[in-house]
Amino acid sequence: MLKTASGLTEKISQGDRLSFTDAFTSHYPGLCYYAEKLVHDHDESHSLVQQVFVDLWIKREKLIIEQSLKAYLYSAVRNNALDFLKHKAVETKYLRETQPLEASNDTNLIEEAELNSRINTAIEGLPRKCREIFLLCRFNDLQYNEIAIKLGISVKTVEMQMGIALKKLRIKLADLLNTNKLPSKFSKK
Amino acid sequence: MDSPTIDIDQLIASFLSGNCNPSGKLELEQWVSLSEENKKVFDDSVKIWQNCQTPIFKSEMEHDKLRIEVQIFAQNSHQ
Repeated sequence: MLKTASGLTEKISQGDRLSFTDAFTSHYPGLCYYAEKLVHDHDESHSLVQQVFVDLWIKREKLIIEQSLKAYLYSAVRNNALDFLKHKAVETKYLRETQPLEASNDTNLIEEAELNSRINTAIEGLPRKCREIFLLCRFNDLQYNEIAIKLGISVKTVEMQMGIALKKLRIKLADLLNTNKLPSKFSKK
Repeated sequence: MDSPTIDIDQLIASFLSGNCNPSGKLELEQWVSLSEENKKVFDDSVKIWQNCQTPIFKSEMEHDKLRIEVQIFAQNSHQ
């Protein structure tokens, strides 16, 4: 019997598919981010997280979850990631690199994953064209003139949409920014 | 200080994305140095830019959710 204080996990243990979907929607992006940080492999990180959700559903009646569902999921992903790395025969190297994660650094990584999930949602909430331009610029490393050619628009439009995107993201993420939850990092650009 | 205009947002975005020319950088530097409020707008924008990772969108999530359902179905079929 699944033991937990969370109503969501109770419902999952009882076979409630909607609750299972809720858990997936809430935690999947953050878990994938976390897994990718551990295994450094995009596709594999998604597979590992998917397996955690498959196990959650298949074993739902027998699972004993004594912490929160979120804590359980992150812990399960971490275990799957460690197993994956063992099979890849890089355990020694991995353990040497990640031993400090055992305490506070792992907590930071989980918090980082949650923040990333929030940013993800904020980007998804941008108007379609604005989002497309922002993504091409930020993740495909395209210059404004390259984006303009690709989309058949003017460089000025790209410039305007980038300004709009940044302003909207700042507004949507104001609570994180005002509580200093977004860390400063070295920028790739 | 008035709230930042769209031109400043464009200028910050062009700076962060490496599309800013030297005169734009100078203009931005001057604007940032005008007030603490301006500096916060700039710093917040930098944080957002730096913390963006390749996102997972609804379409990819739907695809991955389907894969989970297929795996669950396959495992249930074996039991």
